[in-house]
This record gives sequence, C-alpha cells and structure tokens, in this order.
Amino acid sequence: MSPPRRRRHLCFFPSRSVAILDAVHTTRHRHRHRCCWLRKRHTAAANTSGSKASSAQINHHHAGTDIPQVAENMKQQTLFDKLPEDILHRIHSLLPIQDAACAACVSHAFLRSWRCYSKLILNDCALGLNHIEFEERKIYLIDKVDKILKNHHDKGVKVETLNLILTPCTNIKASYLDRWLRRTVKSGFKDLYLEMPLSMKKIYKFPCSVLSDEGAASSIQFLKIGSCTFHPTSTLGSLARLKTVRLSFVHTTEEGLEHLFSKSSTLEELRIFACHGIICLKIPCTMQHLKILDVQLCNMLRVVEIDAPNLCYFNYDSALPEIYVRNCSQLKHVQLSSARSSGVLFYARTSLPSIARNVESLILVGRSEVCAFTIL
Amino acid sequence: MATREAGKKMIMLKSPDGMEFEVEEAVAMESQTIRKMIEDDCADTAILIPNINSKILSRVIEYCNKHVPTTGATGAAASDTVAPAALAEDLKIWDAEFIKVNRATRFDLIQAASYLNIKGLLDLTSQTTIDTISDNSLEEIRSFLSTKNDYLPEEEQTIRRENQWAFQ
Repeated sequence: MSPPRRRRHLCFFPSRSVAILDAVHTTRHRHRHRCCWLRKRHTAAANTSGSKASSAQINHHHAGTDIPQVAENMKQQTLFDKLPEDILHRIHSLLPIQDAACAACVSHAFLRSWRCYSKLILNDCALGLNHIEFEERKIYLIDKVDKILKNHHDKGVKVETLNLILTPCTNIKASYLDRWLRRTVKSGFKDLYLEMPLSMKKIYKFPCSVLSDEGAASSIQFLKIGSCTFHPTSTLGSLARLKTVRLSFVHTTEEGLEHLFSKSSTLEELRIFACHGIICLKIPCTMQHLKILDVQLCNMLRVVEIDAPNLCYFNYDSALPEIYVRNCSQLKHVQLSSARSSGVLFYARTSLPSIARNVESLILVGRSEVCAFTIL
Repeated sequence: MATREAGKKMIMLKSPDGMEFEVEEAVAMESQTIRKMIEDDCADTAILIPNINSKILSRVIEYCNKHVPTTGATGAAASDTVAPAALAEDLKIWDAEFIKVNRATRFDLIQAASYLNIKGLLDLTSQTTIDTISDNSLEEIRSFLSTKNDYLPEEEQTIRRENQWAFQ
C-alpha cells in the first residue's frame, strides 16, 4: 500500500493507531537502566494517543505550546520537507547511530536517508550501553551490532566505514566477527577500525579473505586493527587505495606483512604498535608513497630494512635494532627512543649518519648516558 | 560587476528580489560555487544568486566576511597580534551568536550554504539542527523539524520493529 500523500498542515502529536503503542509496549526493557532520552521517546510515543496533558510533561519546550507556536510551525511546515534529500542525508549522517536509527521512524524521507547511513560507529557508548556494568555489556553489544549489521546487509545498505570497538566482548565467537566482516567489507568499503579485547589477540584470526575480493580490496583506504591475529596471504587483492595501516597488539609475522606490503603500493602511513611476532621488518621499494613509519614497542624486532624512497618521518621506540635505510634522501624527521636501555646517543652517533643524511629534525630519547663526542 | 575598491577586487552579488551586494572577491570566494564561477570567468557582471533572498544572502555574506582568512596588510597585522587559538575561539563564539536564529532562517541558511557550497556554514547549520533534534522523541523531532509523519500505522510499526534495538 502506498503511503498517504503529505498534507501541508502540521499535526501536533496526531492521533496514531493503537498499533504504534503496541509496538512501543512490545519494546521490553532488557535491562533496568535506560538513557533519559530513550525514556522520553517512549513517553512521547505514548502521546500519540493524543493526550495534551502528557505532551506538556515531555519537554519544557512544549509546555507552552500555544496558538502562535502552532501557527509558526504551520508556516514552517514545508521548510524542512523542502530541503533537498542530500542535505537531509548529511544532517542524518551526523547523528550517532542510535539516534539515526530512531530518526528513521520520523518519516519516509528519514527512512530513505537511513538506507544510506554508511558510517557505522559501533561501540558501547554509541549504542547507549556505557551505563551497564562492563561485564554485562558484551551480551547487549553483540546483540545490537548483530542486528544493525544484519539489517544493513538485508536492506542492501552499502557500508563505507565500520568502526567496531569490542573491548568488552571477551570470548566473543569468531563466527560472529567473521559474519559481520563478510557482510560489511564489500566493494565501496573504505575504513575499517576493529578493536578486540586484548585476550582475543591469539584467539581471533582476522579473516583476510574479506580482502581477497577485488572490489573490497580496491576500495579500502584505512585499515586499523587491534588485538587479533593477522596473517595476510598471497590471496590478498590489490589494495589500490589503501593509505593507512595501523596494527596494535596484533599477532603477525614478517611473512604476513610481506604479503600485505606487496599489495599496498599506495600506502602513505604505517604504524605498528606492540606487535611482538615481528623479528625483521622490511619496507620494500614498491611502497613509493610511504611517508610515515611509526614502530613502537615491538620487542622482538631485531632488524628494520627500509627501502621506501619517499619516507619522510620515522619514529622508532623500542630496543634498538639494526636499521638499514637504502634511500634516505627524503627522510627529514627521525625520532629514536629506547627508554629501557642506554646507548641511544652512541647509536645515533654511529648509525645515523649512514641512514639519515638529510635529516632536519632529530629527537633522541633514552636513559642517562655518559658520552663525549661532537654530535653529527 | 567586478570593480576595484582600495586595491581590493569587488564582486556584485544579486538576490532574486533585486537587492545587490558589493563584496570583496575574497569574501565571495568563501563560496566554492562562486569561486568556480569567478575562476571560470563567468563573473564579469553581477552574479545572480537564485533562490536565496536578500535577507538570507546578507546573513551569508556576514558569515563569509567573518570567516574569510585574514591575509593582506591588515590581516597580517591581525594574525601577528592574535594567537590562532584565540582567533578560533573568537570565531566559535561568533558562530554561536550568528546561528541564534529561528528555524525558518536556519533551514534557509542550510539551503543557501549547500547551494553556495560553503562548508563551514553548512557544518554549523547542520550541527545546530542535529543538536536541536538529538535526544528527543520522534514527535518532538517532527515538531522541531516541522515535518509530518507520512507513515501508515503498519509502515511505522514495521520500521520500528526493524530498529527496535535503538529504542531499547
């Protein structure tokens, strides 16, 4: 059945069918705590029965609703409806996901906009769960994320950004995560930020097969994953637009990274934090666009070989490894830190002249060190 | 008509209700739409801005005047004496005052910012609208936006069911 034609007169709290109330009443409290504004939603939904007295209780803004106010709204009734849908989409996209999903129930225009809501930021705060005990959050978080991603998938909504922070979800089943990523990472997908609980670091293996699909591989621009195992293989698609990779607390190896780098010729920024499985880090010359390399707390790392010709910024914070830079003409900014061991100054004195001839800024951080030499 | 006044190139903007506004080219070029017209040499005569009445156009110009980067002799002096953070804070306060308008004007400003492609003004007007409707019930949102519920009861029930997680 087609929707009724829009009338030009605003109807304040119009009488709605009992069905809406039923829908609201079936929305059972799954937990006792609820956000204030969610409570307001229910209160206001109850107003659809037409009770003016209760409408005054909803919000002080309406406490004084009077004829001039109604007249003003009647005059303005068409204003928002007249806005082009791309502006509505823009405004809608700025709403946090829970508000945006509720707003889909405002009108058909908002529903159409919801069907284009492509930036999914899913964490306990965005989903209104931060007031629940941390230990209990995971059930609700998994349930909501599953529903959102299923709905988006079933309705064919293309997702561009998935920001999935699952730190409360200890022992989450890998099958859920795999399903979510397979439903989401498709052609047109741009940004992935996946943060797992630290306990899942060696348990959950990131499904690199989602990046074997050429459509998804060629569209992804930003990849940030934390606390899981990451072993890319030769089946990776060509990551033709990938600009940024950030790995933190990720269990990976140089072989896996070699496969990743071989498909990431457009990469501009690489940050690796606390990835202890790497012993030798090789940045190949095919990474022509790499400008930023940031390596911190990779305690097993012994050798760093950099062959990226346009690297501009290099930050290294860990036990000092052997560092080889084949083409250092663009390397202008270097920071070396080794808080646990002394010898940074000595290292800089003996090794830096060969790896950073054109350096413009140099920051050395280390323990107290006795030295006597003319620096560089 | 493009003219020069005290060394600054001026551009004439014309609203559909016949009002003309002479503004500095740099101010007009805060609008990417006008910038493109100027760069494509389509701005020799007065530029007609369709669908934006003189009241809204004057507000838009006021916004652009405030937000145009301070370059040139006087601008350089200003930026030398005022820290960037203080300038940004000043702009923020000014924006907050500027956007204290009724809904009709705000919606007109959104449309104008969109048509003229002025990102800062579009961000400001959009975010203000979001702030207005966030944390409110559906009926309140409809009321604030002066938009009508055009769902059939069963349609609304369906979409509510689909997004039931958001109401929990």
